[in-house]
Amino acid sequence: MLKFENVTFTYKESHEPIFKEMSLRAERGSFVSIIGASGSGKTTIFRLLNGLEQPDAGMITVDGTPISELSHYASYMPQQDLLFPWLTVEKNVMLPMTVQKLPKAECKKKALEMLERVGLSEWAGHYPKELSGGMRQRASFARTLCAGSDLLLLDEPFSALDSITRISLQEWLLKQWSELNKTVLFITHDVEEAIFLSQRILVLTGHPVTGLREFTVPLPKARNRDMLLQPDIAQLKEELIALLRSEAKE
Amino acid sequence: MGISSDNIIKKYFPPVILGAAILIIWQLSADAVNMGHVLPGPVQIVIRTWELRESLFFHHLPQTLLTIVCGWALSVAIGITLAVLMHFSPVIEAMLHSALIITQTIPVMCISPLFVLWLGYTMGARLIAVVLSTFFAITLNTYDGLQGTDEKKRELLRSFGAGRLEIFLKLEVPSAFPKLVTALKMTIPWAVIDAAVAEWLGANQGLGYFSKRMISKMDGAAVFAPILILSVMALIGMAVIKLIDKKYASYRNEL
Repeated sequence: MLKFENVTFTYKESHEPIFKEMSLRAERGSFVSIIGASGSGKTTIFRLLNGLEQPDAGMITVDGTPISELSHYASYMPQQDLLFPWLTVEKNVMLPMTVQKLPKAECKKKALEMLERVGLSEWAGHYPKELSGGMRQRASFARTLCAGSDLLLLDEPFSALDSITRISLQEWLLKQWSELNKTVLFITHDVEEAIFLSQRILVLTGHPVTGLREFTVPLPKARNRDMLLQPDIAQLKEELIALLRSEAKE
Repeated sequence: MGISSDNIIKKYFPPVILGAAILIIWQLSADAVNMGHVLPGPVQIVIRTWELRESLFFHHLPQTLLTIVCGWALSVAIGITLAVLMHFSPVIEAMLHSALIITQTIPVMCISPLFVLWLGYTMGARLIAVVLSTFFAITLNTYDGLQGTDEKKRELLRSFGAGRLEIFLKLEVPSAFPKLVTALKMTIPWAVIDAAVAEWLGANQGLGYFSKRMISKMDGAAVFAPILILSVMALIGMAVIKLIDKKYASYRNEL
C-alpha cells in the first residue's frame, strides 16, 4: 500500500507550502485518480513519489517502508511520451531496464513482450517519429511497464491526444490494468476520464492542500462507457465538477 | 517519382544557374581585360591547375591536408573536452567563458607570425592557428547542446534510477550531438582557410605557401590554382559532414 502521512512540502522558490500535513493512500492493485484545479499540486505528488523532490516533513511509504530506503518502487509515465528520437521503439522501451543494468538479452525479451502487449511488436525497429500520437503513448506505457514496479504513476498520459484516440486508449488502459494487477495512480483534468477509469477519486482541496476529498466510484471493475449514463454516476460527475469549480474560484 | 524530380530541380537549379552565371561573367571579364597574370579566367585557372598537378597534388596538398585534419581533430577534441568540463562544473564555466570569448577577439592572421617566431616553420605553429580559429564554435555549440537537454527527459531517466553519468551518456550526449555536427559543418571551411593562411605566413610547403610563391612570380592563374583545390576540399568535407548529419543527427527537430 502507498501512503502519504502528514506530508508538508514547499517549493524552493515559493514561501507558501503547496501541501500542509497532507495524507493519502492507495491500496495495492487499486486504480486511484487524482484531480484538482491547475496548479493545485497534482504533479507535485508524483515528483515527491519519484524522489525528484523531498518533503519538508511527513513520511511517504510503500508497504510500510519509507521510499528513501527503496529503489524501483514506482514507474512513471509522463504527460508527453518523452520517447528518445535517436532510439528505436524497442530501445526506448528497454531504457528503464538498461538503466537497471539488466542483461541485454533479458531487456530485449521483456521489451518485445511488452510491445506485443501494447500491440506494437511490428514497430519495434522503427523510430518514434514514425508512430502516431496514440501509438507513441502505448510505447511510453510499455516503457513504464518495463521499469518493473507494481506502482504505476500516470501523469495525464492522454491529455495531448484527440478525443477518439483518447477514448480508445482509456478502454485499453482499463483492460491492461485488469490483466496486470498493478496499483495505478492516475492524474487527470478530465472528470469523466477519472470516473470511467478509477475505483476511487481524490480531489486536491485547499491552498495549501491539507487533505484530499475522497470519492468512491460506484462501478464494477469490469465496466463500459454506457455505465457513465447511470444517474448515480451523473450525480457524482456533477458533484466533482462543482467541487473543482469552487476550488478554482478560491 | 515526378514530385521527387521536381524537388531536385527546385533545390539544385537556382544555385547551379547562379554559379554558372558567375563563372561566365568572370570568364568574359577576364577575356575583356586580357591580363592573365592579374585576372585569370576560370578556364585558365583549370588549365594551370592541370599543368601544375604534380607539384600541387603530390607535394603541397598532402602537407595542407595534414595540417587541416590534425588541426581540426585537435580542435574537436579540445572543443568537446572544454564543453563537457563547463557543463559539469559551473565554476569552470564561469572561469572559462570570458577567456574563450577573448580568444575569439584575436585575429588569427595577425597572431600567426608570433607562433612562427616561437615554433619556427613547423607543423605546431600552423596547428595552433587552425585550433584557435575553430575550437570555440565547437565548444560553444556542444556546451549549448548539453545544457539544452530536455529537463523532463532528464527527470524521466532519474525516475528510472539513472545516475549522473548515465544521464550524461544516454541523454545529454545524444541531445548535444546534432549541435556538435552543426559546429563541425561550420568549422570545416574555417579549418581549410586558416591552414592555408598559416602556411602563407610561415611554411616552406603547402598550398598556402605555394600560392604566396606564385604571387611573387606574377602568375595569377597559379595563385588561383591552390584556391580552387582548397575550395573543393572544403566542399568535400562539408558534404561528408552533411551525410553524417543526415544519417546520425536527423532527429534535431524532435528534441
